[in-house]
Amino acid sequence: MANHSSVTLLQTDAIITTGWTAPFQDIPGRHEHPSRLLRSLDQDGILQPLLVIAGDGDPVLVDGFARHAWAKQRGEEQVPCHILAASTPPAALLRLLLNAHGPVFMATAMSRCLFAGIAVDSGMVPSDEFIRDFLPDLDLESHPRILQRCRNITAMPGALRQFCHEKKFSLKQCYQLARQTDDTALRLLNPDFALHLTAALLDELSTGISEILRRDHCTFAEFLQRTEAGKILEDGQLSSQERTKALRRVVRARRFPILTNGNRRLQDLRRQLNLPRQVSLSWDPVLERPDLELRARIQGGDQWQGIVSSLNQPGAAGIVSAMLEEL
Amino acid sequence: MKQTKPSFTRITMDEASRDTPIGRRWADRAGEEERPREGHYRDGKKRLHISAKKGKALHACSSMSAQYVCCATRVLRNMSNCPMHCSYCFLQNYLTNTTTSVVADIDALVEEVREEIVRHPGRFLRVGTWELADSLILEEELGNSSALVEAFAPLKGALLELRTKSSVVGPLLGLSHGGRTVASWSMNPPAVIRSDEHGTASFEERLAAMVRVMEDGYLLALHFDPMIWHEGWEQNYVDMVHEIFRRIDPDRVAWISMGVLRFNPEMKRKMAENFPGSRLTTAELVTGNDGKMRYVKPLRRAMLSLLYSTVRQCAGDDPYIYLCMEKADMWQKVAADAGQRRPVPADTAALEYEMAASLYRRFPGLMDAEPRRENFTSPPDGFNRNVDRRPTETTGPLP
Repeated sequence: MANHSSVTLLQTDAIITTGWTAPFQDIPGRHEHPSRLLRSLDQDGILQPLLVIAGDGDPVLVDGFARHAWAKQRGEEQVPCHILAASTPPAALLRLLLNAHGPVFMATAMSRCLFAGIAVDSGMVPSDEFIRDFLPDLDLESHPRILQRCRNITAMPGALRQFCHEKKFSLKQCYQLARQTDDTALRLLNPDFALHLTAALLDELSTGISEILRRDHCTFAEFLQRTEAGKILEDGQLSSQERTKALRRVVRARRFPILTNGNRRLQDLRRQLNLPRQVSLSWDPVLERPDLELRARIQGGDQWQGIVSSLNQPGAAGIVSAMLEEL
Repeated sequence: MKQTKPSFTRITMDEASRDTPIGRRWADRAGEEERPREGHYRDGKKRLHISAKKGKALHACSSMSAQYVCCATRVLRNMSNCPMHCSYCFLQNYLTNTTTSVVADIDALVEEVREEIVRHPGRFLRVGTWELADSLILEEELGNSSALVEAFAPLKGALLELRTKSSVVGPLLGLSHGGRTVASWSMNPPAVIRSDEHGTASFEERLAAMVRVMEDGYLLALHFDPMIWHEGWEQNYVDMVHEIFRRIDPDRVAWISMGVLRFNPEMKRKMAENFPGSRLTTAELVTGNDGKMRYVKPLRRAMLSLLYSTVRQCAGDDPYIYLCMEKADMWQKVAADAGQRRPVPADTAALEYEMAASLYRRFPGLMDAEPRRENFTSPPDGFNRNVDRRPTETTGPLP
């Protein structure tokens, strides 16, 4: 059943490093502490043998890519390897990788998705088998829909995947970004913009801008030129948070001009009422509800009189009617 | 794009359906008995399954939220999926098995309608077959709507509504419909038909079809729904209404509905994926109490008010107009914008009564007796009981 293997010294250059397990190297977090690994290798050499699988020709590297790269760079002619039989099932190799690097592959929703996406996209493990045997081990629901989402997320650009990993986005948040139909989210990650982005903000901004681009038939660069957004993103005086807030305001105003103008008109009318500070007059900001909400905080009888007088001021009823007409 | 010509690459049939008119028509081509399960709604358009009636087919076309005024139409689910490709079609996100299917057992369907009539004495049922399919696009292939037309002809307490975006009316002409079938069209300006109603009949074709059935004695209905915002929408909608009533006699129009584009949030991504060229999802949308995204209220009001005023101007005060999936305050605002004071029906039953009363007054002989308000005291099964006027939270883009 098991493929017991002893350690064998193999020619470093003869080992093939482009096997189907190679893309697992690209999962964020695999090489988060390269200097620590290199220091260990420099001091102690390769203590843990590489894992290779026998093939028709040269052996194919399964695990130990960093150690192999170090050996090549050092000009080591041979490296110690465990050699697995060619008949070793791919699913067994996957299990082995998952066990060996569990903390890395399980670190974030993004890394779990990538493990699933890479494994299935390699074609080595059938989807139904992966759904049944591996998704639960990745703390994911055992369902074809979830696997499809993992594959969509895996297809995202590398920079976006890295960002999602670093920010520890949830599966749902990663999937929201994966479903975006253009590269706006990626553009917003431009380090020159230095935006302060949470998952929700990135989704809101990229979706909003993307819809503006489609509606106005323009490119991202044209959007920056035509609106204040370009100046905001270049303004070195603004902090990261201020820049993000300002950009958000511009995107909302462009994306929702009717709501923005409606709210502005209501604010202007409310200002005309000149209400005392203890009184607030509010409305549903998306303008769906047809009513106004009046609140007053009263601490004494004299305040009450003042508030009543302010509400009874000449013209107040007309202003309120005008506000209700907006709703 | 021209009107889609339906073509099925795989046809299946329940054993029980073989001895029905539709079953006999397709017996030579129908294979296995099981309904094949298709996933993507476009794949399902190429498959046809002819089935027996299974379970209840008559349902309420009801809003998910009692805050929206409902027209109390019953929907007869005798078909699902459609060969046309409207970019906003909710079927792309709704059907779990997308195989086009049709219930072949017309007698069983009509029997269920009869039972419903008996259960609601003194009321008048409007029964549509358009909830999960277009009522007429497959008529030349299936003939099921024609069979329903003839089956409804003697039913005193109900009216059949066949709603379509096609021009397929040939099979209906010359049938003994008894004046108890309303042929209705979803109408949009030519620009919207070209951009978002792919594979449907053109505006002119729909209008020509409307004239043909009107001349054959059918009642008509118009559904300006979904209204779509687009460049030049004001003029386009006004021109559309003028053109329709230049050709159609408003006295033959039983009712008119108006509604704006709405869809559930999940649909937004589907639409963007399935119709990347469409700009529908880029409009200013908010999520309402029923969980559906729709245009922001000032825009909805502007669109509905313009259409309402134009229809009243062209068709007079007679055809009954209702707003689909709008709240009571929108009904009031739209009527007020047209210079009218119109009381909003208190509940679904009240609206059902108003429509029945309008039909009785305008189309003598349709009903045996004048509808009485006391027979419309509670909404039928499946409908929300009251129009809920309480303010509740909505969600949208602004804090």
